Parts: sequence; C-alpha cells; structure tokens
Amino acid sequence: MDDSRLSGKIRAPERSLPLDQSDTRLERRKSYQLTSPQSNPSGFDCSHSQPSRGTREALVPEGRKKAGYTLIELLLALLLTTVLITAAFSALQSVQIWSQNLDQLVGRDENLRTAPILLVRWIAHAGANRHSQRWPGISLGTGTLQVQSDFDGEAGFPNGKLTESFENLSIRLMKNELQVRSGSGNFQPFLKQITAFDARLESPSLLLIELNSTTSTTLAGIKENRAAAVALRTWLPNYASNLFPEKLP
Amino acid sequence: MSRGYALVSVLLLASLSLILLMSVHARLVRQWTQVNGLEGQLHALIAAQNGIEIARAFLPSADPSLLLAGRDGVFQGTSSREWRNPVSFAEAMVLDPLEWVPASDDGIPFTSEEESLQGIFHSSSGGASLFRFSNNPEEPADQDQDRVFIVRSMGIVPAIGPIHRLPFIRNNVALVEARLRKEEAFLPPAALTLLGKQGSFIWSSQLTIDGGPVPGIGVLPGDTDELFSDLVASLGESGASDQIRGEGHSPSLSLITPSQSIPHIAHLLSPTFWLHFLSNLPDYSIPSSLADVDEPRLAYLPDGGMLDSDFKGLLVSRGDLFLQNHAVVDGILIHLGGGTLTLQENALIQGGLWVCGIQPTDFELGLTEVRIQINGAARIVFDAESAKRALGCLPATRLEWRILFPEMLL
Repeated sequence: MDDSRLSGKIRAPERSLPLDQSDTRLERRKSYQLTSPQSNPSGFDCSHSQPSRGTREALVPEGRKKAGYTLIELLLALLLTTVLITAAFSALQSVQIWSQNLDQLVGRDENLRTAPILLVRWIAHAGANRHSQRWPGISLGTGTLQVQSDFDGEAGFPNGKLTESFENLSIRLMKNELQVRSGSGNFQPFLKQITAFDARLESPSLLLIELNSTTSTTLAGIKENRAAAVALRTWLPNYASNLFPEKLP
Repeated sequence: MSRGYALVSVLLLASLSLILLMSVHARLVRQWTQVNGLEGQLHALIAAQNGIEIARAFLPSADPSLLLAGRDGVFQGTSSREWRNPVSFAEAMVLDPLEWVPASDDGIPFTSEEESLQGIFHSSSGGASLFRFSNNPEEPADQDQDRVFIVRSMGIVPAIGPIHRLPFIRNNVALVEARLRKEEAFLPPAALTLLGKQGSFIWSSQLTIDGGPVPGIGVLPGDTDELFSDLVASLGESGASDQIRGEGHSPSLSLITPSQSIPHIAHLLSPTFWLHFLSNLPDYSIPSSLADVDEPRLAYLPDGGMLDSDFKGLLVSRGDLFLQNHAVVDGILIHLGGGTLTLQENALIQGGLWVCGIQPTDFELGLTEVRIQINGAARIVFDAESAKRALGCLPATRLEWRILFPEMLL
C-alpha cells in the first residue's frame, strides 16, 4: 500500500500539520497495517473500526483476558488514598488549631482595644461640677476605681446630685473580669479575661490605667506569651489647673 | 474514570481550603473594622476635646457682646432642640465636614466681618471639630453679665474601611461641652488703680495721667482711708494735681467700690483670689524675657527689674521695677508691692496700671504700703482697647467639662 492510497482513504484533518509530524503519523499507521496484512485483503484501512475476534486475541496478552484491578492495585490505591486523606486532615487540623489560636488572640486583643474607649468615656469627665460639691471625683483603691461626675440633670445640666446613670461609677477587678457598677446597682462584667487592673494618678489631672489580659486557654502549639498589657493615660479636664480660682469669692 | 475521581478530590480540597481562607479573611476584616470603629470613636472624642481647647484659646480675645448673637448681631433664638450644638447629632452622623455651613451664626466665633466663620477646625483623616458658644443656663440666652459661657464641640471623624465603598458616609461622632469663664478681673477701672494700706508717692510736675472716660486715679477700699489721704497729700505737695485727668475734669481721683458696672472688682478684695492667682502665675507666664515681641503676652517678674523697651500684653511684677528710656507698656501693668515702681525718661503705660501692696494669707489680704516714683515726663494713659488686648493673654478658666451623649437632654 503506497502513501497515496492511504491518504486517499483516511481523511486527514483539515488543519495542516508540519511536515515532520504528518510523516510521523503516516509511519505509525504503516507499521500497524504491516502487523496484520491478511485482515484487510480489500486494501481498506480499518484501523479505527472493531477488530475481528482473531485479531483481538492476537493483540491482547494472555494474562489480561479479563478486565479489572488486581489486589495489589487496590491495596496501593487504598494506601495512597489513606495517605492523602491523612495529610489533608492533618492540614485541616493545623488550620483549625491556628484558627482557634487566632480566636484566642483576637479575643484578648479585643478586650484591650475596647477598654480605652469605654474607660475614657466613663472617666474623662470625672469631677464635673465638683467645685460646688464635696464628693472626691476620683477615688482609688486596690483593684478598684470610683468615678464621680455630676454631668447630667433634669434640665440637661448638672444638678448637684449624683443620681443619674453613670454619675457614680465603681470599677473593680473580680475573677478575671472587669466589672462596673452604676450608683447602688450590682456589678456587671464588661471586660473578660483581665488579669490585672491598676489605676493611679500621675498628676491631679492625669490618670494612668494599666490592664493585663490573657487568652482564655493555652494556645496550642505556640510557646509565646499569652498575656498582653495596655497602659492608658486619661486626661481629667475637670482637674486641670487654672490661673484664676474656679469659684470666685 | 480515575481522572474524574482526581478532579473531585482536588475540587473538594480546594473548596475546603477556600472556605477556610474565606472564614479567616472574614474574621480578619471584621476585626479590622471593629478596630477602626473603636479608633474612630476615640479619634472623634479627641477631636471634640481639641475643639474645646481651640474655643478656650479664642474666648479671651472674643468680644462677649458679639459672641452670642454671631456676626449678624441677631440672636436666632432657642427654638430648635439642639440649639447649643454646632450641628445636631443626626446631622453630624452623615455630615461631610468640608461642606459644613452652620444653620445659624449664633455663637460661632469670627475674627472680622469679612472673614469666614471660625467655628471649625480640621484634623487629620478628614476629621473636624465644630464648636459653638452659648450663654450659661443661669442667664438669658442672649445676655451675658458673668462672662461664663458654654462651648460645645462636636468631633466628627468619617468611618474608614469597607464602609467607604457604600454610597453613604457614617461618621464617628463625639460631643463635648465645657463651661468657660472669660477673665476680666484686671480690667482697670481707672488709668492708675491703687490697692494698699498706705502710700508713698513721688510725683513729677511733668507727669501725665489721663483716664479719658474713667478716673485718672482710682483707689480700692482698704482697711482704712490712709492710702487715699496719702495720695491727696502727695499730689498737693507736688503740684501735679492738674496733670491727673479723667472723666472730663482734673484732678480726677475716685474711690472705687464694687458695683453693678464693675462687679469684678470684688474679687480683688479676696485673699483666696490672690493666693490662687499668685501660686499659679509662674506656670502661665514667661518668667524673665522682656525682649520685643509683637504678640501680646503674659509675663511675670517676681523680683522686679528694668524695662527699657516696648512690651505688649500683661506684665505682673513684684519688687523694684524701673520703666525708662522711652519704654512703652502697651497693655496692663500690675505691680504687687514689695518695692518701688519707678517711671522715668518718658516711659509710657498705655492701657492701665495697677499698683497693689498685698501679701495675702489664707485669712487676710495683707495690705501693705504702695510706692510709686515718677521722674520726668512719664505718662499713664487709659486705653480700653489696649487693656482688652492685654486681658486676652489671660487664659479662660475651665469651670466644667463633660461628654454629652445623644440620649441626654441636649
């Protein structure tokens, strides 16, 4: 069978191939046909059609006459799958641990970040309307802070009494919780996981507050320090000095 | 078929990883937004606080009669609920500070008729402090007598972060109020005002004391009338009586007593006032340098000294003080005794002069002798504008400071 007959019976793809690739394909087809010269006496190329029984038996090796996987193949596949799944779950577990650690650290840092805005809003106006009153404004104790400020009243202005909400605040540390009490109510927690709370006056108008926080549990796989601290200085404008007396004679 | 299993496995793992990454990302974004929100609230509070300090710096030089009614001179009233606030809370939440135009000019400071209103101060990150003055609630809203004012400052900081991509702006807002008092205790009631037990005076015939609309020399009431007697006697001996002019006549001498028109004089008769003032004065004044400076300032010379150049502002001194060589004090000079005040060589005080012999204790003023020596052609001229400029060097007194919340009666 010459090349011209082959090209005439098998439709070559429309796209043009480089000359060397076209030659290679032709060589492959030639070699296949040469292995079974009797199966196609008509001269037609049937390489793409179902071979006859005799031809298939001649082509398939003896040991593979039945389709399926061997035991070794299955075991290998099982082993490979187990290894892959184990690796995947290990990776997922690591991610989960990191995620839990992140949660812990975020919780700790949220406390420390929330503390300043809450405390400043409660403490900064300490001593409001104190010049005509007798209460101290800021009282410091061991782990406790009392803030008194007459900043509201019936007419929207200080009325000389500490009866409105948040006018008489007590802040304390109890069981790793920072708790606040307004007036004579009960203490309510507002920050958790606080391990230390200290407040002291650096000057009459500058209050230093130091907070320590920690994660609620040990961080898995991390040896770093679980504790963190924040120091907050709050200016107390009602205690700032004036050139002239606040209460004129 | 095996290729299909591989694809499913890869897609499964990729989906799990993607979900994990997205959850971590979402958590980080939430955390970031919360942190920015907290920082924004703190920033707004600080901006509001800054606005109070700016207003406090503005008040001493402000004209109280123009402050409450604003530039147009017409007080708009108190009908709106938040009339004391520069803007309402609701408006501040969505306001772009760059586009703020006050609904009313009442209480908005201004420096001149032509310039824009000064009730805003821009800070970093697009934030701003807006402030407005109003009268204290103990007085009518448009009439001030006690020089006590309420100033409210709204700190506005635009929210940052993902919320910026939304078609609206929600600001972090904080409102702070301060009660401030403009200090006018040293507003001179005469060109030369004396406070003491007795006096030792040496007057020159070339002296000029001109009170204009106020007395040439005023004497505050002391324990006895000895000071006034010493003054009259010394003027008679020197022949300088005609040089003491004021209120359209000469000699112009007057006993000054606290009254409705000059209520602040009463403070000067209190030892508590003087003790507080003298103990805090070193912290607020420039102690020694008297070099020429264009800006008015508050200076304190506890041991006296010599001034032979120009000074603007309010000068407080104790001990022997010499003004000479054409020295000019443009403002107010307060001499607290403990020595002699000497004016010579064409020295000029334009504004007002206080000469007080006091050594206050907890219980008494401790009036002592006042000593003045004037040689040659020295002049003491009352000038209300110079005196007011000098009083502008005295910081406004903080009487009260508080944070206001939207749920309060505003």
